[in-house]
Amino acid sequence: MSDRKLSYAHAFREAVFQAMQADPDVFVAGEDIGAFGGVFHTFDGLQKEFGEDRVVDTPISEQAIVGLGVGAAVSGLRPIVDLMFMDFICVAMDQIVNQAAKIKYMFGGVPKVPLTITTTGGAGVSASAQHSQSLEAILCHIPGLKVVYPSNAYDMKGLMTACIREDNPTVMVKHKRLFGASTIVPEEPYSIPLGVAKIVRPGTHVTVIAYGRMVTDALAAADTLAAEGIECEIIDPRTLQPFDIATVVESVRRTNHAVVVHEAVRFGGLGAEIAAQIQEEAFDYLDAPIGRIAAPFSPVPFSPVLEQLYVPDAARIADGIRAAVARPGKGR
Amino acid sequence: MATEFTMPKLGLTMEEATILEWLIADGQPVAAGAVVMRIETDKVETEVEISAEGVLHHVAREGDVYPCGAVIAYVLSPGEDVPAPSVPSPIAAAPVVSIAPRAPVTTAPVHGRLAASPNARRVAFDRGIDLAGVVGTGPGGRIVSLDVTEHRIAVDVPSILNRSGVAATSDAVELADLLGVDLAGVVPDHPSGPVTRSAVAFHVRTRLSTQQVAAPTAALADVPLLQTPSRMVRLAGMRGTIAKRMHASLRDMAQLTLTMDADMNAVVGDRETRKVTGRAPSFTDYFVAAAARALAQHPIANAQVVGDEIALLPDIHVGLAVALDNGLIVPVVRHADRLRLDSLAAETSRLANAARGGALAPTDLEGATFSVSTLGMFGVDAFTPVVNPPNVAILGVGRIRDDVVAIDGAIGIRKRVTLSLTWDHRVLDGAPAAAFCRSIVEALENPSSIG
Repeated sequence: MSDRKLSYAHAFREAVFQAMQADPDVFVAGEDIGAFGGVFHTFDGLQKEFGEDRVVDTPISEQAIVGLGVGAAVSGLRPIVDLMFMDFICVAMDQIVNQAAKIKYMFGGVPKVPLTITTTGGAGVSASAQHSQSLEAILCHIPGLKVVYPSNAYDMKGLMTACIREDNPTVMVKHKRLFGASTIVPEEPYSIPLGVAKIVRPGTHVTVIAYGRMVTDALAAADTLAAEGIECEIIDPRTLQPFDIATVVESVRRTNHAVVVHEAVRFGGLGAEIAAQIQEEAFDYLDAPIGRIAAPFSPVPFSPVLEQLYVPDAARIADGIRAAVARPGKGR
Repeated sequence: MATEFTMPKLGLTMEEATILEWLIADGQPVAAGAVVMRIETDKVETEVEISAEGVLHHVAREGDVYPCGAVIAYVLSPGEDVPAPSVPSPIAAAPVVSIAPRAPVTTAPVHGRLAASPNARRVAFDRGIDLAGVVGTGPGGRIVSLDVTEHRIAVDVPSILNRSGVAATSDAVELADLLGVDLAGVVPDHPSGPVTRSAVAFHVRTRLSTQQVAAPTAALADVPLLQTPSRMVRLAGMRGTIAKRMHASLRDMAQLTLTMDADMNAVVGDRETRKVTGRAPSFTDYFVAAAARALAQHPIANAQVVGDEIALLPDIHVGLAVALDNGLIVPVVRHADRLRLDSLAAETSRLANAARGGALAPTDLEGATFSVSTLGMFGVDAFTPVVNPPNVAILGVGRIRDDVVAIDGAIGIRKRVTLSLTWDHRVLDGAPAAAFCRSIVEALENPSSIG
């Protein structure tokens, strides 16, 4: 196997490139993705390769961009539409929630909607409150949408390929702080099945569920804790909707402790749903309340200092895990 | 280097197991893949294979309980010594370590309720441990599961005196009463401590594994006994295999049975003729031969179900159910359709003798594609044999009797037998099953056709 390394951004681009090569029905539309190649260079050179008909620069109208994608998808094409920032899904909510996610249901299951919506989430680049949000829980609340959130370049290429091939609407969330992170990425096309979690680090004492950028920080926390004798099992769900609860429950039944980590605010975040499902399936296996490590209930601050405090990091994750496995009465 | 052999974890919920028996003795050579021991978990009794090759050195004892992952043996290379500290601690006989008394304030009930995690409560229930005696080390004094597993019965745990005058916990008394166990015979976990529920359970498990007897272990644990049993018989070994296979057969197949009479006068006559010239085949041999010839004509009955497909099998191997004192065994006549009656008779008599003498080779028991079961010697005419998985049919044979029958308008007396064919309706329907049975009847009525 080749040990070629590719960045998260280029892994995304390669998945799109290969899908467009393989299938003439695949096309891309979005703001500044053509001539400019996307603000994060995720669409670099695609317009040059495939032309303006298949790599379409759109006006600044998110509702129209997603609407174009929905219409093209039900007409038999396989569109990829890009919303530059996840914050902008709010502008296109009617098309996403009431059209893309509902059409198959409203027309007796007949239409296929092979639409992929790509967007960019997360804080950490001082982009302030309107360009830094983590709104994945809102998307996961909508029946009819599949939501993926890769944590590394390898998963990015495989999940993006799976999204493009999927016959139902998918939302691919990329994390802004991961674009430069590289891993080994095979050159040949491959796909990672949607809805299948991955145990990225096996452990025995506590199950840590983290996705997106938080996987990197959780792995760093696990290294710190291993030195203290706490072995974390880290699970990256990779797909947030549908959520692979079976892998999580199987792990929690072994470790008897669970901690969920996400960058979105704590209240009503995915951690609440995951914790609820764990206690439904593994109540009798829990030795402690399920921990949640997340952002405070506040908009993302613009100030870099405050933003750093806002986003969970390895140290905060380690503290949260220590609290979940703590036995203060031991050794008394 | 010595390879550690540890108690395997055979399922998510398995935490420990009892070693019932070492199947390879201490100091004997083992090959990779060899079955080295039988263990019993809370769910199953099973055999365990080893993956290393060398000389087996036991460090764990039969009858003791060991946690998953505990080193229970080493596999040594030639000339190698056993690594130093190698005696694992069986759970039931954990050496007592003196521990400094911990401040009991940590168990202070929160809001008037004993604080224990759900997992601690589950583990305590499984082991019959009373949480009131466990010191919690979690936040706020919460008892966590590790507190339960690390818990040792302290000498001063209040215990209940029961009829036997033995110090025992209330859970232990309850279980012992339920199972009719005399507490005086139960060895406590700790020499000076009370008898606990887990000690009673261990006592019963040990006794069952040393007796040659069987009742469903699950029933023992889950279903209250109607009476104090006079004897318990383990559903293990041959009995266990029969129980599992027959239950699976009835659960997984769409079985039904038809009966059909065959005129046996020709077979009786054929036997008389052969007796004059030498050894005559048994009646059973005729049935096996007739079934084998009929299977050749009806390939659908010589089949098995694999996934969602029916696999038609080219070779015809007929199993012959042989009753033993404590069960039954089904030796196989291979290529029964190709054997002349005399050689078939020689083979069945070899198999039957070997079966009763316990000398059957594994190959004698494998690969049956159909079976014949006879109950005629008990006066049975018709019955509903159970298909031997993965076969799709089985033939039951009744007694050979004198019937008064109408023949061409006159009354005559004929030797007749009732055949009971059970088949899997998933594979063949009633008409082909009847046609198959008809072919067996025709072969019996014309024994020269089966040579």
